[in-house]
Amino acid sequence: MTDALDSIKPSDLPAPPQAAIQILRACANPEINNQELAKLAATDPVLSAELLRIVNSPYFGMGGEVSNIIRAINILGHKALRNMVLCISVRDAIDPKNLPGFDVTGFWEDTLRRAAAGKLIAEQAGFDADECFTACLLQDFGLLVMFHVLRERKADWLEFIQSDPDKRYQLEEKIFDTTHDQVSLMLAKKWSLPENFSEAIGAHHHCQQLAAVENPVTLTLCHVMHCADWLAALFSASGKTAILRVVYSKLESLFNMSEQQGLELLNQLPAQVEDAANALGLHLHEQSDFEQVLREANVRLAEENTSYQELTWQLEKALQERDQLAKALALELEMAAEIQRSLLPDEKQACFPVYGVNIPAQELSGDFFDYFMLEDGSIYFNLGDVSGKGVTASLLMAKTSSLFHCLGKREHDLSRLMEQINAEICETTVRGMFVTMVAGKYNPRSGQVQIVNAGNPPVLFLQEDGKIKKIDAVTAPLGIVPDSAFPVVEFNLGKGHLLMYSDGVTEGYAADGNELGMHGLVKVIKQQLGNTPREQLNAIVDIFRHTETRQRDDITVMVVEHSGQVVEHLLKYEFTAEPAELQLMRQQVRQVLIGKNCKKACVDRLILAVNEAAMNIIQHAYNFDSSGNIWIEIMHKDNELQFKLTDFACAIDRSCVKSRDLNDIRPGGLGVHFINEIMDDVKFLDECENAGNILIMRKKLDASCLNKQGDQ
Amino acid sequence: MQYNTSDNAGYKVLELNGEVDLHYSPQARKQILALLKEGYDLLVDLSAVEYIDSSGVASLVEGYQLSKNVNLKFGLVGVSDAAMQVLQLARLDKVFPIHNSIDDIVK
Repeated sequence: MTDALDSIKPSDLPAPPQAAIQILRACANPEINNQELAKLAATDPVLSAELLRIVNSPYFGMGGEVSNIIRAINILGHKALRNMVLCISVRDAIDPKNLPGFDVTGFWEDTLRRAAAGKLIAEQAGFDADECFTACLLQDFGLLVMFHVLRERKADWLEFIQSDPDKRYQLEEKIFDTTHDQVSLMLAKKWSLPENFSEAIGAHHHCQQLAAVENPVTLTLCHVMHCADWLAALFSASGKTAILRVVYSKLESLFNMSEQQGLELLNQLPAQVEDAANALGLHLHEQSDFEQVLREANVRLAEENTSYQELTWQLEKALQERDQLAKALALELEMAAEIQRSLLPDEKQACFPVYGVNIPAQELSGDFFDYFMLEDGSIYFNLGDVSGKGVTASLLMAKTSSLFHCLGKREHDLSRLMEQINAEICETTVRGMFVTMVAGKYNPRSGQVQIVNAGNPPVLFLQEDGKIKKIDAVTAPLGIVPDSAFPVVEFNLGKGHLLMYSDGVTEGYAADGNELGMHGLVKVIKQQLGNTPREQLNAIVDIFRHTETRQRDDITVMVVEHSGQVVEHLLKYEFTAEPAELQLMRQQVRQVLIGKNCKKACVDRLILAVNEAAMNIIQHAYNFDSSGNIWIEIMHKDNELQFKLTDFACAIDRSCVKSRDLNDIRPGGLGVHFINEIMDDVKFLDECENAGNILIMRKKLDASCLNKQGDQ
Repeated sequence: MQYNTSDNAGYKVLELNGEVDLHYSPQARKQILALLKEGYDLLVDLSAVEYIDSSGVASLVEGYQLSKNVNLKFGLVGVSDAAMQVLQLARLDKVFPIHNSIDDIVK
């Protein structure tokens, strides 16, 4: 450390009184006797008086019984004398008057804490306590020398006292270009201190440098000084939480002391500092006890706990917990959804006349449907919707569905079954929840159907002739009025079928972003007339599969169809309303009819009729506006061909569509005659959404029209 | 498109062919009426007609009515099965003079 020697010169170092120097040197000589030492002390009456005062102080343990130096030396020994002389020398080395404005009291407070801490550690660890006290008193004395030399930096003391030992060391290098351990080492040499003292003082910030030193006392002193530094800092520096951790850690690693032992030591320190100050005749401020220091540290600890780092850690932990919970919840929901799906009926064999689809908006559905066959061969069916969505709705859904399934097997009177389910739900319902339900009973043999609609959207009865009949709700939903009656609507399904749905269908968003509504639903069904009920169901569900918008509500659709009904779809062909398009259309129809094994004459006639119908649309409905479209569909059902032509023009005046008297020979009006002549049945559908026209033509395929088996 | 015409046995012979539907019948009608207006006795040859609809039939009816008004001869010749079926359906098979072939007329 040449820098240190450069910036602080030996001449800068204070010198103790001559007598003190002589005593210190004499003590270093092992052969000196007590008489000679006493003589040296007597040369300085002030020093002698101070020595006697200190010797008799409670802190140094003699209790006021020693009245002369020779007796003191006899009792204490050379080393104790030397230590006392050293203490006095250090205390008096720099006159506070030479450092005006410097916090000398603060300095001694800090120094005595270090010394007292060193003594306490030594007592606890079984070392020489007085030796340690003195060494620790000396270790930072170099700093006072440095402030003495560079007086203009005296204000920086405040920063020193608030910093931990490591930061102080860095500050010294920055401000003074040297460090206190090096200055103290210089002083120790100048004052002729024992070698182990000097070495320990010079290395107390880097004790590992002493690893190779033979004398174990040197290393012990060094460690005590090192720890004492941190203990003292605990009382003055900021960042007490961190310093306390360092103190406990160092006490444990260097002296094998537990936290409890360290705490006891810290508790004793303030009183020891006061005693030492009294013994040395130094005046200090009143010392705070350690509990107060600890309280302050705890407050800081609490503050630091909410520091950024802490918050980040807490947040990460919270996110981890959330992810774990979400995972667990997702698993629970998946299991609940699985149970829900198990409550829906299995898809029966292809010919079973009842079937449905349920698409939940969320993981769990508030909608449900069910059907099952009774012993007499009739089929109970129901479709319901619980108010609300999510878990709560799904629980009530499960309950209602189970009630229907369970009670339905014993109660074969539909009206009474509904009364029982309603009573059960009313008894236990919570938060005003209710269930809309349409339930029914169908006899596949007779075609007879019973329906109860309790608050559900209208059931649609699609009759064989294409007419749609609505069966509106006549009773309030289940779970509201305990004594409700459930009147049954009864009719024969004939060759028609029933479509039931939850309000998620009519209130769902179609592809155009608007609510489908009852009109929209009927429109879709009209477009599907002639298609199988299952195709109609799929078309309704597809509306919501195709929309970009999130599904608004659970969607459920169920069909009850005439059991003998099998519709075969032969053609669906779309073309523009242009005369030039007709030829291609005729080819399509021809292929279909040949495929159905129709005779050539029959094929030609049917093509003529279809063509005449299409011509009428082009000429009269679209008025030769070729931007219009025409759909032609051909279905085969019950040995009958059904031709369906749909246009999207304005509705035509059907009274004008009639055959003319053939005896009146004129160019027009033949088309309708051809159609009526060729087809068995021709009619326009009454209700056509979108103001278009739908023409249905039917032709029975009898023997006159079909090739015989094997004919081509 | 333009349907072929020829002169045979004092008649103008107009040969319709293919599918005489709403797309092609306006041309057939145009030629039938034009030839009559030019004062020709007219035979419409339907032997190559694969399909005819009510608009095609209407063109023939219109020609037949015009010929009556202007005292010209009008007839159909070589009517294909497909065309005959439609004419029968319209009960016109007994209205139009229908000849098997031009040779029949000469005889």
